[in-house]
Amino acid sequence: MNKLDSNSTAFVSHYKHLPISERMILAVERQTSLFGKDGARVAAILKDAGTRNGAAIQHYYGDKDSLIDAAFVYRAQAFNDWAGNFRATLADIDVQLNHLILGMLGAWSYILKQTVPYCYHAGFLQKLHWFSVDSQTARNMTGEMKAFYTDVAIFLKEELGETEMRDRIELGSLQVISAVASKERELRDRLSQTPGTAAERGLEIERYAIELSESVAANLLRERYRPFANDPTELLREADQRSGDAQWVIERIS
Amino acid sequence: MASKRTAHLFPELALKERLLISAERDIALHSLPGSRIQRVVKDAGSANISAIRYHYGDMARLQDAVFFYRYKAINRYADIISQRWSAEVGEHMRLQHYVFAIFAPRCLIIYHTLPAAYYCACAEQLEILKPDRINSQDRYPWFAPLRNAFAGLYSLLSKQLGGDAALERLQLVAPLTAGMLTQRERKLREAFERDELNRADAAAELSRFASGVAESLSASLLREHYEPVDTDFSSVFSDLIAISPEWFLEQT
Repeated sequence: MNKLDSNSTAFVSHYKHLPISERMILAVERQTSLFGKDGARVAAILKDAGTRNGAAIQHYYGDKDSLIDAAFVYRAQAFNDWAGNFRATLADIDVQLNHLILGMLGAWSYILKQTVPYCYHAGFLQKLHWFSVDSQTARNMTGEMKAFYTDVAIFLKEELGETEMRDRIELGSLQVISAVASKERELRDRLSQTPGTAAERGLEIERYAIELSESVAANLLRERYRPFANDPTELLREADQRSGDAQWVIERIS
Repeated sequence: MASKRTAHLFPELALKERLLISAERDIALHSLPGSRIQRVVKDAGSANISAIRYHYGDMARLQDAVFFYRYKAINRYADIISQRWSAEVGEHMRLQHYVFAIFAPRCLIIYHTLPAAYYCACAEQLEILKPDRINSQDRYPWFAPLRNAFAGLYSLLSKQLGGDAALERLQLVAPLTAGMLTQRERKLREAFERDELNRADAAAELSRFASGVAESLSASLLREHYEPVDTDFSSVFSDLIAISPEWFLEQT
């Protein structure tokens, strides 16, 4: 475990200017990402949130499960705003499967750019088996993100037929979530030691998102795969620019 | 999820061996720094934490024993697979064959450890599935059969793509394999605990997974150079599943 993961001091002080309700969301992300849903102890969440008030979770969110739901809601808006802006940049080009996947991965890279190295969101999603699209809860994909996911499914169904589409999406989404979680972890390891400049970090993350989109598209399409016809970096940057700073949403009960 | 204690699942095993299974489970569920001696001992069905000292000396030695407990069996499976490939496929080895030789042994371990399938999760916590550690001379080295499969994969990939591109794509795909195995393992284990899945279903699901992964990860690595193979991976897998693993326990 790296220093950032084994010791929460840097994490707590990085977010200490935020209100307590928001710090609790960030803390539950961190704890779940590191120890899983059952391993995330309330005491540790409170510690990461920098509070000693044992009733804080109950006061703001009711219980741990609702806090986890709130953590999904917290990022969903930013994901969807970015994905919507990215969709707008696709209007005049010939859209490939790679672009649809980049619609989801680009949103992740946008959020990662703003939070790295204090980023635990992908690990949080991985530990909670996100990407199961069947269940109807707050933990599901919504809005533009879901639209991109649906587009990927439609595209594959037309290319490969229904059964094959389901099999491949299952493996593909397993690849996506494992990949982003392990990249996020690697960035925490490395950038907490040598942060570099924001531009360098951005470049690395963009490049990774594009490469991974290619990799996932190849995973899904196999012999029918085609690389990006044009470099999509400009599309990512345009969507970043339109989105500006991420808007987080805090939905608390009191 | 509350699942049965190791002591109840394996009453026929000696405490020394149950301690390994319990430690594996505790590391899998609570991560390495989060694992607790008291919980391990209680799960193994003893009241006395000196059981660990008596059988293993200390927690670090116990972790090493956990690592070797299943590792020999994995390498034996990998060895059987590569022998089979050299007999059946010979010079026409494709990337899919290597990926299968690396993935299938872990899938077989998942099958044979149900209902206490915690190996992949534990290995992920100990970071021993990470292929970038393949050459490092550290505590948990990769052994010959698995290492050969990985080396074969890499040299084939370099031949097809050139060294730089091969390395780059491998770095994109390799780190996520541990996560894929862990997720699949957990899904099967939890379905098994809820009685939604029997052994035959688990075997079918793992066979589908191992063959699917062989194709899909090869496609991710090769991309425009990818071509499917006509090897029937699922029949190889069902032959392998009939072979029971032998767990390794150091004699004192």
